[in-house]
Amino acid sequence: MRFAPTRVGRTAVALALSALLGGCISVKSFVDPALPVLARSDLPTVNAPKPVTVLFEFKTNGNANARGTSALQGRVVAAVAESGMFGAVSSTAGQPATGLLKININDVGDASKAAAKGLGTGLTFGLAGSLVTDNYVCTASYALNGRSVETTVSHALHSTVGNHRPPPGAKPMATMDAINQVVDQLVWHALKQLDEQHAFADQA
Amino acid sequence: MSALTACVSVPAQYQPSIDNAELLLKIDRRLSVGEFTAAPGVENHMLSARGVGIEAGAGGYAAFLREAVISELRKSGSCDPVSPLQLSGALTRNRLNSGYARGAASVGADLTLRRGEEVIYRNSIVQDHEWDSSFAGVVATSAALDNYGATVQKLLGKLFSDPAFDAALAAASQAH
Repeated sequence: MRFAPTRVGRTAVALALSALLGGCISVKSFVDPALPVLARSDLPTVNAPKPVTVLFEFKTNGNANARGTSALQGRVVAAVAESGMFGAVSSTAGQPATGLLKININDVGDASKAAAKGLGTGLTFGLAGSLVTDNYVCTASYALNGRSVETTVSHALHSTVGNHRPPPGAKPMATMDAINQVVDQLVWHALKQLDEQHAFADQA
Repeated sequence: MSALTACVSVPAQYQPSIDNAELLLKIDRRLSVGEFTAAPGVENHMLSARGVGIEAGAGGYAAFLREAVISELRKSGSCDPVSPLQLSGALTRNRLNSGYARGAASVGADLTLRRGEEVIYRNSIVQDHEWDSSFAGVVATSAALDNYGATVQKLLGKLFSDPAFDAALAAASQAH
């Protein structure tokens, strides 16, 4: 038997434990409403966009999480490309005259607490629902010609497992859609903030 | 016990790190990757966390380490299969412990850099790494899986940041 967790973060832990014990228990995901949602049109226009290499890492409490990186790498690179702020976008370094965009998303929190919540939900077959929050801190830096600028953005994904009230002001979404929105918004906010710090000023 | 641990398994996964990519970009040399073996007595086929096997795949953990090196070199654009500068290695330590409060891994390797037949660098590196574990098996297993890869990442970081490694590559390039 092969165990292959595909979801990223504490939600996966709570869900796994509750599902193991309680069978079919509903899960709803909610993107935290605190971070304003940016549309493509809200992003700055960069004159003569340069090619960029994107180096991405997903971490859990500061430690490498290869499954998370593998699951989200494509989405991160796509979000960078879709921003329209760069020329060719590559995930492999080595091309000359290319900017280097480093994006690190760190999932911070206590997985043991999430596991305990999932256990309670599973034992009551979903009646004692639980709310699990994955907090994400995105650190992004852009370097070109020896100059480097860095910024940080925080976001969160809430998931209710079983019978639990949704977080105030948040709309329910499919889990993967919610994760994708969190990733897109972390990347776009980071790019916007980097631009506000004139990271791309020399590109004109 | 091994029969039990073999019942459930997860594949070990490796991700190249941004820090290692930066180190390799600074070094700016292209390398090929040779053979990686396991030293006698070193566990090369079955590590486990809470009864869940961590699968290294064909070739065992020595091959996993080799693939980790290749992925780091590829990420930074430093991998060249025909480069005369070739890195090879032997796994000298491979331990994983997933306790109720703390998890720990220790990975060691003898790493050798050759230019053609000539050995231009050799170093024995050991990397110890600890993390918060959990009473919950699913959390502990997941953390062990992630942190075994993190341990290998740090081991390779030690190699790429070793001034002697950088100097050997620089000298080899000048001699060439």
